[in-house]
Amino acid sequence: MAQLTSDNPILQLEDVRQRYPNGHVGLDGVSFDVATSEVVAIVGPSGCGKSTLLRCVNGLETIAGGSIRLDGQVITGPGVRWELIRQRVGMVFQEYELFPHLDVLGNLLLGPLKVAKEERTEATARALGLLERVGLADRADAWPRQLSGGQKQRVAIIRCLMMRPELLLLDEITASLDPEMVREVLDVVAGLAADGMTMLIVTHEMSFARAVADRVLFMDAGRVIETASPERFFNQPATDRARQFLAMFRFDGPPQRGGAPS
Amino acid sequence: MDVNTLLDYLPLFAQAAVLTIGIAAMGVACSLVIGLLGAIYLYFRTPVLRQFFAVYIEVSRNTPLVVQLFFLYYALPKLGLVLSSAVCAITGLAFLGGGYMAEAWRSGLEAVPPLQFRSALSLGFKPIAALRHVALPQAMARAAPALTANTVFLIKETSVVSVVALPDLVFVAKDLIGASYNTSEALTLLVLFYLLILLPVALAAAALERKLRHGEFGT
Repeated sequence: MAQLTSDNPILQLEDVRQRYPNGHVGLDGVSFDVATSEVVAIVGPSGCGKSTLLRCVNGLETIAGGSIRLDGQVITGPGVRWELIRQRVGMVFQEYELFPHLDVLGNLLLGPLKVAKEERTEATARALGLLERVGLADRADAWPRQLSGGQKQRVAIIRCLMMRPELLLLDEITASLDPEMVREVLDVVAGLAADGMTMLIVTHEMSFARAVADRVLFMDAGRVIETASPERFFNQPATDRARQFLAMFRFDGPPQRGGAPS
Repeated sequence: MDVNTLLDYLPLFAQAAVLTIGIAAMGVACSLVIGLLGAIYLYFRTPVLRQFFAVYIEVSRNTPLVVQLFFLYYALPKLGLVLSSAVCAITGLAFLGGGYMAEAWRSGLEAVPPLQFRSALSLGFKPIAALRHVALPQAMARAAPALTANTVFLIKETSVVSVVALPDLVFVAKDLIGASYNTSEALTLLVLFYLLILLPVALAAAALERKLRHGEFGT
């Protein structure tokens, strides 16, 4: 296993356990740290708990045991002001979740104006700057329904950035996109990584995880099975489970049929 | 039909219309607020309050306004609570309308995808702020037709408030017919005044609905 602790972790999970109301175990003792400016990709089969893990980190799921620390401060347990934590931990969803009743600029300004109580002129300037940065400078007045999936997801990402988060959680943000739009979104994420944004990325885009992540966590059945550098994980996975998982992403033609009739 | 009679009656009807509009406006406003509160408690499944509103909705929607008004005006004083005619009428309308509005608001709220709410929370909104800035505006766009229908329904329901001795449009019409048998003139004015009140409401509501729905659904 690669390093489990790092020098200046911004996020520390220790034996985090989560259970759904129906009794299904979401997380079965997950521990790892994320260093400042580190990009961690979480991969694994559907239902392995990777999305649950992200939701626990920003309090959309309640954990049943263990602890989560953000910048040294425990953010689990009773009395946590999640509305304050969530301003520091941005989350981008698979289905974008732009607010359809607001135009693009309105989506970007809602959090800064209503939550952070920022000045409108200042927030607007920042919003326009971010739109420019993701190539959507001319779409500030557009309604979400007028945008393509890739454009919506780029807006969703910078809507998070408007809150100046210390950590960004990306939950399968390209899973609903048409293939030709995946690239434009991943380019934005790669840019953020280059700028030193700390990110926890749940993804099925293996080549992207490989290119942008500093570390890959492989999860199965609510546990972290393997932690490794992308190089190592994708070239020489240490566990059978990871090998099986990675094999699913390779298509070598139809399975061989044994005993063809002669 | 006599035009002079119509003109003679006009001021009486205008005066009664002011009363009808006042009672209706207060009743509709109160029922919108009561309905919204009920819908929020139902939506968040708040213990106790949710059950309270569930019972309230059934009682309010399954008793006629006339009966509610009789109760407020004739039964409550026996129990030691004397309300003026106007307060009775507004309370009755609010009680009846609250149940209908709660269901309209709730259908709107439940039509907003839950992830919208969570998405707002993830930006740092407190639940009540997420409701106000994200869920409710969308719920309103979805519930607008039902809210409008209820509003028009409640305004029409004011036509029974004369049972608690309020001189509304119906009261004036009945009074004039009883006094002078000018039935066609009085009823013509009654129809006209209700249309005069309700048509602008319907048009304004349609305009408001278009505005509310524009962002999400286009024109």
